[in-house]
Amino acid sequence: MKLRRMMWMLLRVQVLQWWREPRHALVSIALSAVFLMIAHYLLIVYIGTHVQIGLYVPNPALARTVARACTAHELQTRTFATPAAATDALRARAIVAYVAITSNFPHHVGITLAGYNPLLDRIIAGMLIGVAADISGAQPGGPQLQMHNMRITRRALAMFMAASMVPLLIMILTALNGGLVWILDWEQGMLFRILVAPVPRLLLLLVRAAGSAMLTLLVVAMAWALYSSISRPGMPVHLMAALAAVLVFVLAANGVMSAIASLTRRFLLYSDICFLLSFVLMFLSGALVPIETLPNWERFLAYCTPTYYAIRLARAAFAGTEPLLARDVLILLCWGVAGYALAYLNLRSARLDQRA
Amino acid sequence: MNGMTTTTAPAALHLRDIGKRYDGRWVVHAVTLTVPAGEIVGVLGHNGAGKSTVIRACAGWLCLDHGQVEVNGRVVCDRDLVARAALGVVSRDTPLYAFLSVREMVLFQASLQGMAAADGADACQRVLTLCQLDAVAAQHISTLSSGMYQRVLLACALVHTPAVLLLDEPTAGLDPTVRQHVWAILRTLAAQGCAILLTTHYFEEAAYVCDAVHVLDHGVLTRTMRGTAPAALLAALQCWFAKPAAAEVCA
Repeated sequence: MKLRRMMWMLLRVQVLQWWREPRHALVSIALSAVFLMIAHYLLIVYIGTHVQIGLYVPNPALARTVARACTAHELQTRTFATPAAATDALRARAIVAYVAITSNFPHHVGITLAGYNPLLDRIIAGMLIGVAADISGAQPGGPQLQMHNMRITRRALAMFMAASMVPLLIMILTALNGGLVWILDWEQGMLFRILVAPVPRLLLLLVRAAGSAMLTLLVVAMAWALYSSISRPGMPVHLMAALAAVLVFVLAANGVMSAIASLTRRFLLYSDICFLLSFVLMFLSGALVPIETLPNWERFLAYCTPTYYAIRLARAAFAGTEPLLARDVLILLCWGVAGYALAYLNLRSARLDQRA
Repeated sequence: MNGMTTTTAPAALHLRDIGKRYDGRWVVHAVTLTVPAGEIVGVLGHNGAGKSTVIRACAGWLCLDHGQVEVNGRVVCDRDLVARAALGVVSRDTPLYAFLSVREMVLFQASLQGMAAADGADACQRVLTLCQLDAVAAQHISTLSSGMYQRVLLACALVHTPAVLLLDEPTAGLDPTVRQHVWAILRTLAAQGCAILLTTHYFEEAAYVCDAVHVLDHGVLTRTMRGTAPAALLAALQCWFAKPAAAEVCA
């Protein structure tokens, strides 16, 4: 009887907490939805449905056969009248690869990959080899494959993935360092010890940012050194640009996390939001799943996130697979400045009675 | 005897009609009091009377719903660094970094106050000696007893020789000997011209240390006693807190 009452009381308090502080429950629900979404993506063959493959097949009957084979592999196709038009579309990233079949028999299948994203190329090459096998499976000797822009070496992939992981690592570290410092200061009250002293709030913000940046850079350098010793991806293609890029990531990620910390001011809510945000940003960044394989609305969301630009910049500086664009740097700087501005505005109004 | 006090010394701390509401309920309402330089002013009241809220308001930690707090004629606000530099605060709301040693913590506080390294070191040594913390200066905060912890809070508040000292129950949990020592420190500071506002539950502290005592009841100042002999003040406070309804009899 006593145990049952204890259990009942514990449960009641738990439910009351959810009821009276619904933010945690809502974040948990959102988190579950994201998990389900990820599971959904993993369960269905997702990659093929949203990419467009260019087809240059002058023989109309064969073109139909190839298109059918692509559809069976859940690949969308777009027909081109000339190889030049297909190459232009590939350069403009309107398609992720194109297939050219100029002879009727035996099938000489030419597959031209995009070449800027080894991860994407690896996935698409595998699928197109399947398509080629299907369309010429009945022919003796099978298809004669000719691959263009094929740069999926182990080293290239290692360098590419390392370049993709750096911004994610920085983002997670910044979430741990930058935002948590604020949250702990808020919750433990240290912020008020500092704020009763004649310390300008802007200075406090800058010092916290600098401290967090130093720590993040140190950890990233150590992680890179460790990774290099294991996987030997080599030095970044543009060393100075890579260092500058890391600083920009730190600024952007730190700004965003500081803003979130200044808005939430509670460890539980902050950690929930960061956890959720990390998943979303990781998924939309293009580091794990190529952006080109996402549906349009998700691609649009990706363009609205800082990590997409961070990954692009990192790939340009570390792996040299993307052009170094000032636009990416500018967008990241804007994210950082906006985050810090929001954090500063919230810090200016920081009061003890707003802590809980 | 509610509200304003008449004093001759210049007011270092002035609370002008301050009010603070939580969930629509006034926790502190229409509190006006003055702490002149060189005086110790005590605020007494039951738990929840609003004592800590008054200290927090003076420190600029609260968004007041009414009134303002002035330190040496300057309104305590975010932008006025001069007003904030004049304040020293001892409060459980502002804990200490547990991973620092006592000396490191006091030096950190000195640097927050903008003191140069040499000045900070001198001031640190001075307050460590004043608060009898020399023996534990190298010890980590996490290893201190609550009495020692309280003294470190006081040392941090004193390191920059503040013009106004705000103390929220500074002797709570201290043994009688340490309490006497803290009282002695406060008297010395007041003699040096520091204006001190303290909240307390101890009648003896209010009677023997404070020059003026305000009684706070449900967020409102109900009594102010100034210039009363300590023994009489002690008796009056004991009487009043035992039978608040018979205030006139106690007076």
